[in-house]
Amino acid sequence: MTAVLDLARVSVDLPAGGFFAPVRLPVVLDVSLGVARGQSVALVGESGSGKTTLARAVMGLQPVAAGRIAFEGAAVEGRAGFARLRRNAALMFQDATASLSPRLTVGDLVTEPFRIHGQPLPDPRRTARELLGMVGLPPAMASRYPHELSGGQARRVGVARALALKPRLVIADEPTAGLDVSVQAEVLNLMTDLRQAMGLAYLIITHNLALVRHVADRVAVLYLGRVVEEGPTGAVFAAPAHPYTASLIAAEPLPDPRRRRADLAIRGEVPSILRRPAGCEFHTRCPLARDICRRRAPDLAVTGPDRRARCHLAVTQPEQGERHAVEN
Amino acid sequence: MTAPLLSVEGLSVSYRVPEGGDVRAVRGVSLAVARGEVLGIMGESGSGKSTLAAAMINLLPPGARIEGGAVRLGGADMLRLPAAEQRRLRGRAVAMVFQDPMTAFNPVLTIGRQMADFAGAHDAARAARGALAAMLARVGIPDAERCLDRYPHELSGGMRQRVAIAAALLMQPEVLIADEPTTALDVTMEAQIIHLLRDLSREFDGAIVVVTHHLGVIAELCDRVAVMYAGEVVEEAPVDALFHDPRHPYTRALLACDPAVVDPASGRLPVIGGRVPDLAALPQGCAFAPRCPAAFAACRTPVPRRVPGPERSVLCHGVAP
Repeated sequence: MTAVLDLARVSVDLPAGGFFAPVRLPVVLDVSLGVARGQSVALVGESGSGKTTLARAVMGLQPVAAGRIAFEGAAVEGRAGFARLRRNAALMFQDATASLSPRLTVGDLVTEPFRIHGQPLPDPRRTARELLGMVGLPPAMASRYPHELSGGQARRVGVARALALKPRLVIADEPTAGLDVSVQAEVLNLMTDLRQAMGLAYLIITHNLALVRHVADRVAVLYLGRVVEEGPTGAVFAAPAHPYTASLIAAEPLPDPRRRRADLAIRGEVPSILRRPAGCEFHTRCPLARDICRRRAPDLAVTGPDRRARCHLAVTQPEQGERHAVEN
Repeated sequence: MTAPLLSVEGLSVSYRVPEGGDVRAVRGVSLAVARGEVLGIMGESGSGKSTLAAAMINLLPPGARIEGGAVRLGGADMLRLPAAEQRRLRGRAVAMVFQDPMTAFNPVLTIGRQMADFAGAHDAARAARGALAAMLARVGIPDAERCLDRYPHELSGGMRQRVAIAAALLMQPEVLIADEPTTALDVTMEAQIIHLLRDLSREFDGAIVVVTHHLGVIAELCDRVAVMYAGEVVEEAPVDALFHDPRHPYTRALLACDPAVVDPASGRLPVIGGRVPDLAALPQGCAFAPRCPAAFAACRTPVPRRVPGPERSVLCHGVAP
């Protein structure tokens, strides 16, 4: 299986500091990640974990400070590299309505990628009709403007636009944020159907764990820009190897009043990237932190088949996973 | 149940739209919340839940018109009091926390100054620095004293929401209304705010009304739930009964399509077919009937409110009287 997208030790800096003392803040650090053909990989983390910055870097919207991004085996470099990537990969934005130009009709919007990339478009109306059909919107929708759409419809138009050039990879930034439960289910089903029909690979950026469980084959958990755990979704959810992953899962409110969380799984907030904690960066919030965690930063180590975690405790104890799950 | 602190009686609110016609956002809603209780108002966008919440404190947006009904707060009808009387009650009798804590604050004034303003309008003693810091510490702000000198943008979303809750509680209101209090927050911060509200409901001698579309928040936090659809309360029940024995077909469908409860191995998620009806052109009879798998001929006629058990009510022809 060739990787559609392959990130090798990617780091991204953002400018910070004053005009006279400019500094570069490391926001994404040393991230390695692969997305295979037809695979769906989720990047999860709290706000400030660097997940959106990483996605922007993949699309060339943010320069990479170190590391290598490869798309279908070839390194993505320079204008030509990113132009090729953008033709074959599409971005689904978080705020679907805001990502659509208010002055274009839905028909124009879904066929705009052809014009942007100079691709032949012999019959725009037919193409628009086909694209709308693919995402389950009626053809009459083509003459509407974005403000006339509901949140779910705008999201579908965003998907149709992303699919216009038959991409091999879709990068979806919080694809269901702001949608109602019933509409969210429709969007998730649509993503699953398209994946089966077109062999699409997804890189999904989200903090919604229920979504991850449903659509992702693999999950990578980011904390302060570093991958702290990575592995097959089912295995990670069943027995998280990193205490941060366990706390995220335990923090999710469950729709069952008989299973209320009595205790807080995780306290406090993500530390500022201006003041990264010494040692393991999660130790300030970790319920299991020990002396070594304050002194030495753990490496991302193999913890099981196809699984890696960045935790001193996960590495030293082989059947760590089970015991790490934070009890409710 | 003791006498309610706040009760909504047959409330209807509509908005006039430029295309003509009225959007009937809230239709004949009756609800009550008692001391010590957490009431959840659950609904999807366009269900009228935020309009209902705004009506409870009579802060409806311009263009909204109250067609009928009352909001009773300690005997008085909030909707018919003179403006000055309403202002006196807001903060003291009923206070509100909004979805986006950033827009709830003035960006150019410090947190301390704004809290002093809220409190000072009612009571100078509560505006004292020590009292403000104590309230911030109560909602879990570390270093509360220093937080008073900060500006809203210097705080994270979770901290801002805590400050908003502290500000709302300053005057010790009897009813706290929280409109989507965790929607803008990360899951870890959401868990912390739920925890805080649950703690407050235990020690604070009032009632909390939580408005949300998130089933998890309702299950974690509320004692009783009102489910809204197209402007009406279609089902009202104690939280356990609502999640484990839902009676209205809409409640059932909604609970079934939450990705958090569906087995991921099943692949596809159940959906509710069709769309929410146009509130300016509602169908005859039951508003959910066009999407309801169990609809029958009688559903086109006015819907009866059934009472299947204590503290329960369902707006549905299909439920036995």
